[in-house]
Amino acid sequence: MRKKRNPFKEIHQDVEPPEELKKRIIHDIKMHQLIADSAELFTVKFGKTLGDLFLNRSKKDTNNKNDQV
Amino acid sequence: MTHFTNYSDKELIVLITQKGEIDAFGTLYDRYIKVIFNKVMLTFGHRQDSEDITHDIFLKIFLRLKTYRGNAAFSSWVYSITNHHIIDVIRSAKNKSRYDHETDMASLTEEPADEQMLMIDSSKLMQIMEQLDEEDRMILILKYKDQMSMKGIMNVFNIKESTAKMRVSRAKKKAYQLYKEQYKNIEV
Repeated sequence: MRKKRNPFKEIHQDVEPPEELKKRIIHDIKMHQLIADSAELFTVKFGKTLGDLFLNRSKKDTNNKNDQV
Repeated sequence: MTHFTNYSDKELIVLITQKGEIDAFGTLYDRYIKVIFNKVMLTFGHRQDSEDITHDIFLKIFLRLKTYRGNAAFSSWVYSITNHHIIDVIRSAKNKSRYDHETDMASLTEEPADEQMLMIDSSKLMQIMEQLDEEDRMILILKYKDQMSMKGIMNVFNIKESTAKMRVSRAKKKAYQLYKEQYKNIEV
């Protein structure tokens, strides 16, 4: 049986995307990742480090007071 | 970046999302760029705009990679993001001429059958498509080139069935009307 013709399948653009587009996309993705990592560093990781630091310090202070008593 | 070429799409996604290998995204880019860029070009026609839109589509794909669950083929997932993004661009660019456009359409002849649409000569079809607005062009591409169901069109545009049918009908009428006007010797 003959396949039905579809002119819409025959129309297409055959344009080569520019090389710079790939560089631009990868560059922007890396920038985005860098910003996301930095944000994570200063919010989650830095916050956790500070939290740990103060928590350990207050524990240490409590232990010292207990030792003095 | 060539050392990623033997990896499957799913393996590349794991490398990117779990190991932070962003260069692996370059391989995914190489696999899909031509189809996506040419689809965008077919819809918008303008090269610089198409490059910017393609750029945004790839950023969207990257940002959503972690949400890909692997239920559908990755290519389908990529084309779905592409279609949705194209619709978003069309919608945001849509201007006040909408009402005029709808009124114009009311005066057009009755909706051509699919068989009539498929009888259009492909060499003339390209010229007709270029004269349609982006939304009509996109609808015809989805319906006839991608052979998307009415349900698929409803999902991509996020519209009701009646609205989808109306828009498909409008795009068909407009394309066929242009065909009749410009190639008068055809039988209607």
